[in-house]
Order: sequence, then C-alpha cells, then structure tokens
Amino acid sequence: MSEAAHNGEAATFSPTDEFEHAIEPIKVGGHELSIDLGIFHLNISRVVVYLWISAIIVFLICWGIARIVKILPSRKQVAFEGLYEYIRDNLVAAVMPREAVKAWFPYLLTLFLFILVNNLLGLVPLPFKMSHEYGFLPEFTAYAATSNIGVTLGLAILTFLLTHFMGMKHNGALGYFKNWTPGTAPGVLKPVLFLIHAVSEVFRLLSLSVRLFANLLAGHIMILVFYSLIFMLSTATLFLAALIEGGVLAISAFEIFVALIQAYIFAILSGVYIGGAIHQEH
Amino acid sequence: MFLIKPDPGIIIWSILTFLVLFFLLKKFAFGPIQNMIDARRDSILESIESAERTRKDAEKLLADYRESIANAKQEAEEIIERAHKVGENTKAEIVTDARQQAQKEIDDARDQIQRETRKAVQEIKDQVADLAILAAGKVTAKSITGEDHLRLVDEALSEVDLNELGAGGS
Repeated sequence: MSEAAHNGEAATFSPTDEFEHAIEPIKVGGHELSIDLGIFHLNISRVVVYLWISAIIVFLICWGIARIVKILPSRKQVAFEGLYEYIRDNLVAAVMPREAVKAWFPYLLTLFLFILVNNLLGLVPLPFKMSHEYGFLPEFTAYAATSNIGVTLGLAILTFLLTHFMGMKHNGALGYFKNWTPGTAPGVLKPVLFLIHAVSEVFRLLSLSVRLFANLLAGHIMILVFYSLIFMLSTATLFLAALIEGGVLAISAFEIFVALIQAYIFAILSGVYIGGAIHQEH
Repeated sequence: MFLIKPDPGIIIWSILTFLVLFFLLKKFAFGPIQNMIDARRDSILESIESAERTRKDAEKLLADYRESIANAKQEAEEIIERAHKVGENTKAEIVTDARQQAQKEIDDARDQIQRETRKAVQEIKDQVADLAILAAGKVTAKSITGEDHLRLVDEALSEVDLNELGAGGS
C-alpha cells in the first residue's frame, strides 16, 4: 500500500500517504511529467490521470448513447428518455427558473456524470504503479480524484464564476449586486448586509467543494484503513479477517451511495446557485 | 496539512478537463440527442398536421358525397313522382279515349241497327204490300181497282205495329 509500509519494521503506516502521492507528478523514465507555467506547475499527477479517465468514460457513455438513440425509439430508449425528462423537468426545473433549465441542464448533467464517475472510479482498484516488492507485478490502488480538494474546488470555482456571471448578465452588474441587500433594509445597515452576503457567497464556494471532497476523502480513508488492517492483523484469526473483509464490503457499498448522493448534491446545488442568480429574490 | 491545501495546478487541470469534456459532450452527445429529439418532435407535429389536413379533406369529401347522394335521391324521387303523374294522366287519357271510342262504336252500331231495321221494315212493307195485292187480286179477281188496293194495304199496315217490330230488332 504505502511506501512507508514497505520500508522495514521502523516504518509507520499512514493511509493518507496514498493521497499525498497522488498529487506528485508521474515519472516516466526518471522524468517528471509537468508543464511549467511560471507561477503554477501543471503536474500530470495521478489525480489528473484519474480526471482524464473519468472524462473519457463519461464521454464514451454519452457518445455511445447519442449513437444508439433513434427517432423511432425502442422500449429501453423510451424509458431512458422518460428518466432524462423526469430529471430535467422535475429535479432541475424545481431549483431553476423554467427558461434557464434548457440552457443549463447540459452543464449540470455533465457535472453530475463527471463527479459520479470520478467518485465511483475511486472504488475500482487500478494498477497505477509497479510494485516495489514484486517488480513485474503492478500495485493496485484505489483513488478518487474527487477526494482531492483541488479538483472539487476547481469545479466549485467554475460554478461560482458562472453563477455571478449569469447574475450580472440577467440583472445588470449594478442591479445584481444591489439585490444582495434587501431593498427594505435601513440604509445604514446595507453595507453590513452586503458584506454578510458577500461572505456567504464565498462560503458557498467553500462548502460546495469541501462537502464533496471531505465525504469522498473520509470514505476512502475508511476503506484504506480497513484494507490496512488486513496487513496489520495478517497473523490474527480467520474470524477477524472475515470481519474486516465484511467491513470493507459494507463501506464500499455505502461509498456507492455516497458517490451518487454527493454527485447529485454538487450538481443540484450548482443549479440552485445559478438559478438563484438568474432569478434573484428582491 | 497537504490534504486541505488545494494545488493550483490541480484546480486548473480539473477546470480544463471538465470544460473539454463539457464541450465534447455538447458537440458529440447532447447536441445530436437534442437534434434527434427536435427532429422527432417536428416529425410528430408534421404528422399530426398532415393527419389533421387529411381528416379535414376526408370530411369535406364525405360532406360532398352526402350532398350529392341527397341531391340524387331527391331527383330520383322527383323523377318517380313525375313518372307517376304522367302514368296517371296517360291512364286517365287512355280510359277516357277507350270510353269515348266504345261509346262511339255503340252509337255507330245503334245507328247501323236503326238504319238496317228501317230498311228491313221498308222491305217487309213493300213485300207485304205486294203479297196483299197479289192475294187480294186472287180473291177478288179484278173487283178491286188499283186505288182500292192501296187503300186496303194502308189499312192493313196500320193494324200492324211496325214500331214494335223495329224496337224488337234493336
């Protein structure tokens, strides 16, 4: 599992090591894959590769669906379209103004699918590096890109920027910020209320990103801890091993639920924020 | 702690990856799916409109046919009625003609009979006169003159009701 676990008896196990290694640039032939932008280093790390894998999976699924849908639908297609329309017209239309749904549904759907596949990919062990002990065998690791704060913050920033851009586009820059304070509030209080609202907007950004990241991170640490227990208690009884195995299974099953619900929450909250900015409450 | 310290590189990568995915999906998945749905909606609308047009045409056609049939029926009834009237008239004419013809024939026959009767009576009259003259001549043998003959004949004839004879012959 972690490199520390392989370095003799003195090594201490830390499940978080997996997450630290994930942001290091991948080395190919001793050369680190990274694009230097001066201020930033665009490292091609395991996180980035996971993002790409997820994006490719989402694209292939959607592209495949787009290729098989027909004007004269099969029964399956009717059911699928029914589900699609239900999500659009009931779940999304419930949080956004009707006229904005059509324009924003693709964005929210992409968000949902991208986050969902990223979350679920975390439950699939992938052969990411060569084993230190068995040089010819790959070492499998389970990692989710969404358990990295950078990824969730990136997506949240996108929603944040789009929210305020759409707010200003639909209400005018001045009108949009004017609506941040209630029109009935006393003039003296207005700056204070504006500040409170501004802070709340920033915290929306943070809560959106931290919610997803923390849920996924916690789930994965739990799974890794349970896996680690197998190594740590490898000399223990069969009963204990079976118990741990059961624990991994239970948490993995729960993680599937978390993956779905967190992807849904992120997408639907993005819809709520963007919808709220387009159609401001006065 | 590194876990909650966002890496700017990863933030940029995640935004970039997402945006690329979004535009690819829009171009290759959502776009075609939406186009297909729009095409289907257009085709259904077109079908509904065309069906509506066809229905209206059919209704108009049906109304025309119904009107034509109604007209034809009325015409047929008129023709039958007219024919009836013509028939009735013809029948009445024929009957009247026949009656007139029959009456005329009866009258002709009656005239003929009367003529024949009168002729026969005249002939009988003449023959009776001749016979009486002949008989009387033989009985009286020249004792009676010609004038006496005629007087005797007239007397004899007055006793015979020839009208009855004529009526009986008719």
